Amino acid sequence: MRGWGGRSGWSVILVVVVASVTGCGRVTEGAGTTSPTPQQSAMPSGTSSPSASPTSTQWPVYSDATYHFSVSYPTGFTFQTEHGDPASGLVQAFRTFDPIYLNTYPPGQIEIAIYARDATTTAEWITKHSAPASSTDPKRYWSPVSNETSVTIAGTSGVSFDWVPDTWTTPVHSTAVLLGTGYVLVLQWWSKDPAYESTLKADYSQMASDLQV
Amino acid sequence: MKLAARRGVAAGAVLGILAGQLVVNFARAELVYANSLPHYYLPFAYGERHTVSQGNGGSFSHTGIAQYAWDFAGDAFGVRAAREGTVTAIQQSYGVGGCLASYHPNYVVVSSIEDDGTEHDELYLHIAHNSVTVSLNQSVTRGSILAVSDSSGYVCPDPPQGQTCPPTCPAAHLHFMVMNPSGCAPAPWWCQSVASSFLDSNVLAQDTNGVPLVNQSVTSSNVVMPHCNVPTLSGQPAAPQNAHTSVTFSVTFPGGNSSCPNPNYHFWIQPPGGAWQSAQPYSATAIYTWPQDWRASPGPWHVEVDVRDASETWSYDTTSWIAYQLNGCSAASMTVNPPSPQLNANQVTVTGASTCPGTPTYQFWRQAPGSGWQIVQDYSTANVYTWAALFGPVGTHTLQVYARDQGATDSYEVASTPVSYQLSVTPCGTPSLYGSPASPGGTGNAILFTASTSGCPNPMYRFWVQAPGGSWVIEQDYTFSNTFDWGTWNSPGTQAAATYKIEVDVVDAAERTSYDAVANINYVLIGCTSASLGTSPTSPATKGSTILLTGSASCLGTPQYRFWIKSPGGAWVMVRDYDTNANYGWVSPSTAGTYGVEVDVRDQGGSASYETTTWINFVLT
Repeated sequence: MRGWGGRSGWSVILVVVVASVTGCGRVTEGAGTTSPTPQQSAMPSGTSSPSASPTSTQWPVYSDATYHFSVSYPTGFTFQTEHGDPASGLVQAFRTFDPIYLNTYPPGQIEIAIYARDATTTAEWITKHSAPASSTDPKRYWSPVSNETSVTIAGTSGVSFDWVPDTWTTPVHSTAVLLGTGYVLVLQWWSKDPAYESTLKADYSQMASDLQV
Repeated sequence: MKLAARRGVAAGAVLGILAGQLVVNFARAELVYANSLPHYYLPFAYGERHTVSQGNGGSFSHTGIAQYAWDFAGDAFGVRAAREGTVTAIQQSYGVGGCLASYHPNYVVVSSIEDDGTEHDELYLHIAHNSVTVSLNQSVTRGSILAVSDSSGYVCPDPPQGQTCPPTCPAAHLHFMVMNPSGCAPAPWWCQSVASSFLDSNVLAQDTNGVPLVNQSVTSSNVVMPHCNVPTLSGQPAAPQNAHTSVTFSVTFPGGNSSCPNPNYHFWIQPPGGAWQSAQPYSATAIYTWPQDWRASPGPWHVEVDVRDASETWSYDTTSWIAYQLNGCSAASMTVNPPSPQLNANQVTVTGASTCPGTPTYQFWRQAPGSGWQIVQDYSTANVYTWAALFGPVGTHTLQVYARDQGATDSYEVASTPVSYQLSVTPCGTPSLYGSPASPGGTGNAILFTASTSGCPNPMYRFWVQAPGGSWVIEQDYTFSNTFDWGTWNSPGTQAAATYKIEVDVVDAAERTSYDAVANINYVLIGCTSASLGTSPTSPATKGSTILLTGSASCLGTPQYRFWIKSPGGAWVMVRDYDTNANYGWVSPSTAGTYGVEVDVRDQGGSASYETTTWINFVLT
């Protein structure tokens, strides 16, 4: 268990987070950044079910044969498949979270959303699906985003940005990357508890680093 | 609040008004609220009970803007207006919900004006996809149904693995809060919640401030809005029936319908393979009688009734439908032999066919060129109609057969596709015409005219006669007879000795033209001539003696004689009418004097008064 309030594991986690963000982080902001060397991880092929194949960080890896990506997730976390919303273009979603929150509202979690791609670039796609909260367009995914930044993720160009769900005050930190010609993958995290932010942010960074598309 | 005044509670019914407290006169079920909070009723139907899964200040999500929100647990319950107002925002496009930030919620916002003029908005959140029953800017009364509860947007926990919400929505709830419309962020419909309370007696019984707490189950006292129960629709007689059977559909409520004081019914009907059509618009009539022309087609019909109270304006509260099978003749068809087109056809055989649940009966129709439809063979079990096509008329006919079950009384159950049939005929050639005996003929002769033509299969003949100085007269209209007997003439005086013109017209029976061809001949009638009169003895003779009068004349036929006597100073008196006997024995009178004696002669059969005559003086002494 990696309970967000569990203090006993924090020192170890902090080391990993620091190492991840400063040394192994594969989310690099700004243009002209050298693409990192792909990190090798053992991944099952041809399956869409979560697997426990260890990565170099010894995290289990989820590989998705339908949308052709793989991602690690924190050891002890639950990796759960969510359903899409056909009305909106959200074709599939996933979340990973501490299982102690399985039956309630979590203070924070990391999410992966797969959308149908209907724009040439990630930036265009984000703009296309941004609209005021008064809009009734089901393909509005977020109100105008903030902190939009070009990044390299999974060895390809992506865009990171922040947005706030309509009924929230907490921002969601997202990174979008094109997933082949048909989809867009959004990896995002949020925390409504400031004490949980650093943990999730570090986990998110590691997942971003391990992401392969 | 001036609730007491709004609800018409007499001042004397108020037990007391205490600052910040509610005073309830339970005996009269009257409520007076004295605190300063905006007051509402629970946003679900009267008598419904839901648990508060998160109350004001709930740690999950009721903080900050949502500080004063309530979550009422439950899925698929009708969300009802907690207060009268105007609908100012609707979102119902999103399809799903769950424990994910990327899921967006559906909602309705109603703007209300408090008694003190303050505007508040009520938010009804997490409602079901496309469930909203009101429209933007619509005024709603308290208790009006707005939508259906669900779990759209961010709600936790998720449905069990492998299942989706809906239908499995463990976190389904209605998020309700009263908002200050001037403090909205980030969405214009997501505004700072304000403290509010409920006037429902069950809430007040649990908390005198009317603010239900988490895990409390609360029962609504919201307006008792009419809501009709699910009806049972039945047809009488019960299906299946033969097409055209008179059927009456009626509505009952086996489970009662006490919450629907004035039920109205809207009947719909769906023909076999067709689209639903409104059959009887909303009215208080719970019976729908199937019109005759709507029940002509056999097959699987569907009938639906929508029910709502007369006070309601939305589509329906509940609905029920049944299938109703109509059996009847189907697949009517027709064959025609010989096939169209036909030249000089005398007879055409039309054969009908149909598939019927019982014994089929057939009715044959034909529409002649330029005419209307006519029944040419009425309903019978005979499936063959023999058309005497020789009578045409030439041109394009249309044939059709109706079929119905034996015993059915309506016009038809199924009709064949109309079939066109082209008739044509060879016209008649120029006729020949002659009289027998040949002209000239005696006025008393029996003269028969005979015509003949060729080419046309069924010639008809019409005979005309023109007397000298007269007009042409049809003496024998068109018949199949090619002869005309002069003796059948109808025109008086036309058998006098003279030269006559005779004409025959010919046409085929299938034609409607005046004639194809004509022929004319002259025919001379000759009467008796050169009448003479002899006596024996010759004049003078003794009075009282018998004198033999003998007439004679020249005739082509058999002469007839008529004798007249004129006494001295008297008038002519006929003493013997026409007879072929040329002799007449005149028994002379006993008076002496000079008498006139006359004989008239005409051909036997002639119509003239006489054709020749002569007279003499005869002296009696």
